[in-house]
Amino acid sequence: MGCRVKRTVCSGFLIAGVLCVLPAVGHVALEQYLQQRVSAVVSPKNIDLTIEFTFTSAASLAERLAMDKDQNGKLSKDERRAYLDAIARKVEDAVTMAVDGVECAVIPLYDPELDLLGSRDLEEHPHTVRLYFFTRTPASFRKGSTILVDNALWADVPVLVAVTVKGAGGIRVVASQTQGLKHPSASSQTLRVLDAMCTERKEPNSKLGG
Amino acid sequence: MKRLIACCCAFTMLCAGPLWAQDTETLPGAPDLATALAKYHAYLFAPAVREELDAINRDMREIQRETRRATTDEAREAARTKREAIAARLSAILESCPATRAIEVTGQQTTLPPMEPISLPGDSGAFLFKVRTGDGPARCVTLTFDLSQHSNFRLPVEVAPGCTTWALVSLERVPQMKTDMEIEFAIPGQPTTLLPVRSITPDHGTLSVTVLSDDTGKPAPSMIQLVWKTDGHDVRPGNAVNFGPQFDSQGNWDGPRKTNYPGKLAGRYWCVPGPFKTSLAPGEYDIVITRGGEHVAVFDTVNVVSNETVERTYRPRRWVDMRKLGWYSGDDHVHAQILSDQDAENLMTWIQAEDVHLANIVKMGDIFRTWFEQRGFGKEYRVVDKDYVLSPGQECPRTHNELGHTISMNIQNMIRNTEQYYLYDTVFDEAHRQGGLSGYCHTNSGIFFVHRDMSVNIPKNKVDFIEMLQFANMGTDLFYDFLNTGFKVTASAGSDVPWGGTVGEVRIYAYTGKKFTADRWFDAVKLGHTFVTNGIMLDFSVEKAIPGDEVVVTEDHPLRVHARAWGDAEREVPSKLDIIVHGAPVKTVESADANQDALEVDFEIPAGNGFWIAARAEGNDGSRAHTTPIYVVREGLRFWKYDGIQDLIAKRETSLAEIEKIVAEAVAGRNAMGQEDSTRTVQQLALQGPELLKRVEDAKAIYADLRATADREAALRK
Repeated sequence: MGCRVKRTVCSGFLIAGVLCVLPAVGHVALEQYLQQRVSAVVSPKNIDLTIEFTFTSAASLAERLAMDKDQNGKLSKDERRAYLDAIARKVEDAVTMAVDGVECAVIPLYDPELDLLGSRDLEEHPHTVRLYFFTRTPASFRKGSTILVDNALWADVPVLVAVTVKGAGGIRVVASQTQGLKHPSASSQTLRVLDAMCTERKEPNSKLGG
Repeated sequence: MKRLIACCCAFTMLCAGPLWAQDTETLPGAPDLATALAKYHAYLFAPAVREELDAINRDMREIQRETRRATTDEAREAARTKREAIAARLSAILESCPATRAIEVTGQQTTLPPMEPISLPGDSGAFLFKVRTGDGPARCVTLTFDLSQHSNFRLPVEVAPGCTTWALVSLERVPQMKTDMEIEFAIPGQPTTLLPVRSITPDHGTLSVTVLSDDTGKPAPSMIQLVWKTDGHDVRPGNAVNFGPQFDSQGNWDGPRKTNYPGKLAGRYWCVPGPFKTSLAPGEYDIVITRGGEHVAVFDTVNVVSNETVERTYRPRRWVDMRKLGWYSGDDHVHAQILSDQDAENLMTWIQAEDVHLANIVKMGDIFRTWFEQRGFGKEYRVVDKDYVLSPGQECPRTHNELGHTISMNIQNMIRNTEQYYLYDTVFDEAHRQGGLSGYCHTNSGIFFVHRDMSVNIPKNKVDFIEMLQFANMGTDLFYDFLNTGFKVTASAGSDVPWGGTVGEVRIYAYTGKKFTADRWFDAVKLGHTFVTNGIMLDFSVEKAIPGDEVVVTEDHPLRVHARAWGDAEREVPSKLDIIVHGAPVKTVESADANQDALEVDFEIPAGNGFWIAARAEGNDGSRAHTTPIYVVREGLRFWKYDGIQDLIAKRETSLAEIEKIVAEAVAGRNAMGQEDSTRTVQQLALQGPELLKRVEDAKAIYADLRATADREAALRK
C-alpha cells in the first residue's frame, strides 16, 4: 500500500506545486478543487461505483505534465496508457467501500479511462479520468443499510464532490449530503465521497413453496 | 469457402519464444477481453448472451483480485479452479459468437475465413478472430486501433504459436462506408499472415428532434443528453451551444455541461437552442431532455435506422409553475463573458433551456486582475427576452486566504479599487448607492474564511444575502449562526458555472408577485422574500407573513405556521419537512412513500420572546430546499437565540481576532499562513490593514453592545 499511496500523494503534490507558482491564476482557490463525480447503482446483485475526476486549468496542466514522459509537449498513446496503467495499479487499494460498516471488496469493473476532451497538448485544458468498480451486494442489504465510500486518490487536494445514487431491482437508495467542497484531512489520507442509505428494498416475488 | 493466401515472411522463428511458455494461468488475457466485450462490444452477441457476458466480466475481475490477494497455496488453488470455470464459460460464449472469424495457421498452410465484408455498427466496433496455430491451451489478446491515427491500415496482431488465440480487434473512428485494411497476424515461428478485411459501416440515419415549450407549444431551448447505446458514448447534437470561448479557459469549460442535479437528472447535457437534425449511426439512442427544475424530464429511447429520418417531438411537462404563485427563479452566480450579441444570445439560450428567469452574470476579479469581461453594467446592458433576464454583476472582491468571496447584483458599474480591496464595506456601500445588492458566496461550505468578513459587515447591515446552496450542497452553519445572533440574513443560491455544472442547478426563488421584472426580482431579494432549492419547492408562512417578513408581537400569543413542500413525483418527492426555530427543528414530518408528492404542516406556535423561523425540506433523491426565515419579533427584544448568545458572540469575536492576526502578519511581511510573502496580496493587506482594523473595532463595539443588550433582556424575558 505504501508505494501506491506515495504515488497518489506525489500526483497531488504536483498539482499543488503547479498551483503555487501561479498565484495570479483566476479563481486559484477553486482551481485547487478537483472535481469528483461519484455515482453508485445499487441492484440486488451488485453495487456499481463510478468515480470521474475532472481536472481543470492548472490542475489539468499538472497531470498532463506528469503524463508527458518524453517531454515533447504531446501526449502519445503510450504515455496515456502508462498514465492509466499507473492509476490502475493503485485504484484497488485507494478506494474502499463499507456496507453497514463492513468493508467490501471493491473490484475494478473496467479499466480506467482517460478523456483529454479533444486536446493532447500540454495546456490548461480540462480532462477527465474515469474509474469503474463494483462489489457484490451483501445478502443482508436491507432498508436502513448504509454505503460509505472513501477515496485516497488525489485525496491531498481539495475536491468538489457530486454524488448520484440510483437503486434498481426494487431497491431505493438516497445519498446523504456528501456533495460539495471537501478538504484533505491531516488525520486521514482518504476523503469520504459517498454516504448513502437504502430507503426501500422490495423482496422479489417468492413462489409458494419455492 | 476457405482460401489459401501467400504469407508475408517477415521473419521466421524456429521455435516458440519463452514468453508463451511462461503462461501458467488458464486462458491468459481473458480478463481484458471479457471487459472489452462487456463494456464496448456486447453488440457482437445475441441479446440473451449479454447478461452472461457481464457476469463473466465481473466474475473474472473478482477472481483476479482473489488471486492477487491469495496468500496460501490452498487459496491460490481455489482461485485457480474458479478461474478455470469462468474461462470455460467465456470460451463457450466465444465459440457461440456469430461474429467470430476463424483462421488456421498450421505448418506452411493458412486457412482464412471467407472474404466477406465485416459490418460495424458505426464509427466504432470490433472484429473477433479465433486464430488456431496448434492444439495447446487457448489464450486471448485485445487490441485497440484508432483509425484516425493510421494512414496505412495494416493492423498488427501478435498471435501465440501452437494454440488457439482469441483476438479482439477494437476499432475507433472508422471511416464511413467501406474501409479496406489488413490484419497482420504475427506468429512466432511462422511467416506473418496477412488477412485483408473490408469493414462496412452502415449508412447513417437522421435523428430530428424538436423540443416544445409547455407554455407556448412552440420550439424552445433545452438541455439534451444523447447516448449511443451500442458503446455508451455521448453524442453532441449538431447545434449544441459551445460556451468554451465565454469561459475564459476557466473551470470546466469544455464539452457538455456536467450537472450537479441530485438523483437521476445528474449527467452530461448539451445546451440546444432549438430543433436539430443529426446524422447518426443506426441503433438505439437514449435521450434525456430537461428544461429546468419546474419541468418533468423526458427519458426516451429512439431507434435510428439507416437512410431514414426519425422525428421526435417532445414537450416536457411542467409539474409546477412557480410563476403562477408569484415566485420567479434566479441564479446569483453565473460566470461568462458577454462582449457581443452572440455571447448574450448563447447565455439567453442557456437560461431559457434551464428555465431560469434571472441570471446574475458576474465579472470576476481578484487583487491582480479580472475575468469574464462584460460589455457594460446597468439596466441598459441587461439582456431581456420575455420574462428571462441576464443582468451583469460582479464577483469581486475575492480573497482566498483572508476574507472570502463576495457577489454584487444589479450594479451600474463594476466596483473595484484594489487600494481598498480588503475594505469590503466600500464595495457594499457603493453597490447599494448604485441600487444594487451585495452578498457573500460559498457560505454553504464556509471556504475562503468568509466568516471573517461576515463578522465585520453583517452586524452593520451592509449585506443583503448569502449563498447557502451550491454544487448540490446546502450549508447552514454560518447561516444559522448569524441568524441566531439576531442578524437578518437572506438565503440565496448560485451555480458558479463554469465551476458548477449548469445554470439553475441550484436556484433562488424570489417572490415578485405575478408581475415579473428584474427590478421587482431584485426588490424581492432585498426584502428577503426568497427560498433556495435544487428540486423540492417550498411554501411557508407565519400568519400572513412570508419569508423575509417580520411579525411583530407585543405579547406571547399563538401564531399560525403553515408550510408545504412538494416535488416532481417522477423525480423527487419530499422525504422530510422541518420547521426550524433558532437552528433546530420544532416540527418535522417525514414520508418514505414515493407516491406522496407533498408534505405539509399547519400548527400554532407561541410567539414567546420572538425567534427566527424557517422551513427546510429534503427530497428522496437528495435534493434540498430552505426558506429565508420569517422574523418573529417581540417588541423590546431581539429575535436571537438568547440562551446561546454568549457563545455565538464569542465565535464572531474569534473571527475578528483572526483578521487582526492576518493584518499583523501582513505588516510583518508574512501571508495568512504565516509564510514570508512579498506579493501584492500581502503588501496591500499591510497597507490597508489600519483601515480594516478600524472596521474590526467598530464590529467589536457592536458585539459589546449586544452583550449589554443580552444583559438588559434578561429581566424582560419570561
